[in-house]
Amino acid sequence: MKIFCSQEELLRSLQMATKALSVKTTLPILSGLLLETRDDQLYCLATDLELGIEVKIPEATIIAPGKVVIQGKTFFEIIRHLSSGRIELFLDDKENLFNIKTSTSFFSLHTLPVNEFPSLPEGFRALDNLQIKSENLEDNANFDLYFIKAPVLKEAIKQSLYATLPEDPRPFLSSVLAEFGQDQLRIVATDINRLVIKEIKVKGEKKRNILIPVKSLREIANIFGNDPDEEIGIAIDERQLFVVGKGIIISSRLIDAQFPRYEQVIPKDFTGKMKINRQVFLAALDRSSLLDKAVKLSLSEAGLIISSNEPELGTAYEEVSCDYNGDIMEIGFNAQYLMDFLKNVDNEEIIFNLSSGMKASLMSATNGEDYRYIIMPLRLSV
Amino acid sequence: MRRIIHLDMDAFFASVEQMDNPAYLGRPVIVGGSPQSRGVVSTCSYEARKYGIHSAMPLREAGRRCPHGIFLPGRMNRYMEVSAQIREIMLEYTPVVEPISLDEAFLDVTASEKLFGPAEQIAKTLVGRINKEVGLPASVGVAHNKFLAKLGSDLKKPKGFVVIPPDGVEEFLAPLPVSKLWGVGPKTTELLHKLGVQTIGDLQKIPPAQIRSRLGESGEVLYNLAHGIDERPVTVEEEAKSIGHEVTFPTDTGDRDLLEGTLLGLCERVARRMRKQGLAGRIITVKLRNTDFKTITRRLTLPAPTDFEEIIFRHALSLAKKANWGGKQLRLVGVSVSGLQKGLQEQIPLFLTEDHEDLKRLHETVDLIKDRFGETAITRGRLLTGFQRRKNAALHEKPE
Repeated sequence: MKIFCSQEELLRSLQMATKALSVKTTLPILSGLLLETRDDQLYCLATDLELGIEVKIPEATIIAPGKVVIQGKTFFEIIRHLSSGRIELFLDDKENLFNIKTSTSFFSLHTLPVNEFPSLPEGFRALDNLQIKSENLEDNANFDLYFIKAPVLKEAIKQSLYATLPEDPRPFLSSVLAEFGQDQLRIVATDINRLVIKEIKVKGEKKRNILIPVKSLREIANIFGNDPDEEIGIAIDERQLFVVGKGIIISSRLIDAQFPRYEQVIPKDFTGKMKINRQVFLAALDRSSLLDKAVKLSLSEAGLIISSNEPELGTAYEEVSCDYNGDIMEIGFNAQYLMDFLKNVDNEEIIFNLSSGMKASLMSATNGEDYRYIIMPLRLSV
Repeated sequence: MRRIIHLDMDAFFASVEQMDNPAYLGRPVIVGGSPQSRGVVSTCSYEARKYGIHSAMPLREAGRRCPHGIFLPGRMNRYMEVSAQIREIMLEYTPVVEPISLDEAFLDVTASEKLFGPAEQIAKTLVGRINKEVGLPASVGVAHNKFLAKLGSDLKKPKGFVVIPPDGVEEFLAPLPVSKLWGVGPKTTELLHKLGVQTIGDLQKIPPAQIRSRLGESGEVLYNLAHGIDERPVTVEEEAKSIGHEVTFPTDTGDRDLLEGTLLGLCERVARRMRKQGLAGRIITVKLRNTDFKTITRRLTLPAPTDFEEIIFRHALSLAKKANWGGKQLRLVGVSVSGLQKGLQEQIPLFLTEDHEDLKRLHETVDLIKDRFGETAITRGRLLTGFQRRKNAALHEKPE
């Protein structure tokens, strides 16, 4: 194995792939990074068994093909610290030392056993050649296939992940429900106190509901969608999800668990409806929460009053003008929960449908139903 | 120049017992457990010290030395209560109080001298008030740093009152054995003896570079202490940091069933105490000590505070399992909840996975029963021992 490549391109690829390196592992091979040549191209791949990321490294010249596994973090750090320019990578004859050479630096890394590196699921290779063109949508025996604009998916992920609990042992809180349907994807996320429902357009036919780990979605949103015209393919088999973009494949294990029947908690009847300027509402909440995250909203046709009260500190009082139709009411919320939504929409006005009696309320953007936020109140002591 | 007071209660636990039970006055009182148990002496009265008993001595040994001694299991809650009473008095003289344990504390009274007179005067008043209002003896040391203040309180126990003036500190320290230096335990003492260092004076004569080369970082600290230099500030403790319980098993165990049951019992006690104080917490910590005395702690932060034993237990158990229960037989298991806040507001969940409202009502009811009839009046079936289970079954079978 012998390759010439550019330090900048290799580094850029490694920055993506190494996100899937296993951090705390009892299996040393999972801290390894696979470098492999296929059809005159160089690929790097890392996986922690839950998440796998493969990146095609551009501008690589393959002199002799081959395959090697090396300690991923160390390799990445070496490449990161090298100065830009051409790098020569080669495996010695006994295949137990992998060498990195520039005009002035030379590193030799011990290799890890290639045959111990987790084999990729069936069909992964086929995806490699999958032409990411939505007009070529065909029935595929192995996968349910969908195509989507990457920036749209990126935004949808960003708008849902804050309402999850990535570290919680309960699977439906550390993952997100994705409901694929005819040309539509509905993303549902919850942290038990609130629920996000986000709908976006996709190209695809089949109905399919899956649970995707939060960690995988975070990487998907980091890697894809930075280019406004980028289009990506989503392929789902029995147990895995694959996201395929230009030269990049991310695979993620699917979570086999039950998501709560969320339709039941979507409120339909409300005590009042408030239409309010997003920035003004956000700023007032931000100030009130300086005293305490628990805020009280007092609503009447005269407008909104936000107050908070921390017995040992003092009180806060904010008047906000808004359009309110409904009964006079007082309701408590965790201000952070309200702000999370307000920070993640870009509409000028939002609609807040409020329910009294410790029931769920609903926030949405004024221009449609594609982003809904269901939130439970806080029982206030005073 | 700072003015620091170190206040140390004399044989604190034992003195509390003697105060509460005048029959124990003048008799050797040993707190820690029965002389048959495998624990160690926690505290003993000065009468007991005449028999050579000291804290950390195995209780069996203490039993041999003083068979007629009064051996008591100890009442932590009572000691905490008395300790809080003492702390209240100290706080009247300065807000800068650093409690080291239930029975000792540092006070920085530098700024208080303008209000209450010289540090020596404050120290006298403190001891007098504690003796009169609480009814317990204490020793104090007054100096310009923590090390010297603590050294002072230790010099003439019990009821000691020692002021170490800044002038002539080196001469004052010189004849004392090196073991009096802060942080010098048996191992360092042995090492220093090998270097021909017996007294603090011997240590003062060694050039700092040489101490450093022999003892590393701690050598520098020792050098400073030997010359009476100690810059550590008196730090004020944060408010009620955590609520926790732990148990040491009579014999080390790897029995998962017993461990899980014990953990559940601990979680229940923690949650009960939290509810009693109106607190809820977000950080759950599990502590495991294995047969090699290796202590493992694991913690996690919940998204919302809780005072439910069911939630605390679920997370504590998953932490313990993740740590493979310490990998070996366990000596001790403990659980604590920190990140406490007054449980005033309550976030209503969207999905009731814990049968939240039912459990809440259950806790309220069980708490009420315990308040009225005592902590053992009602308990979980899981926490009953086999003996209790059989006894209860027999009770139910009894014919009318």
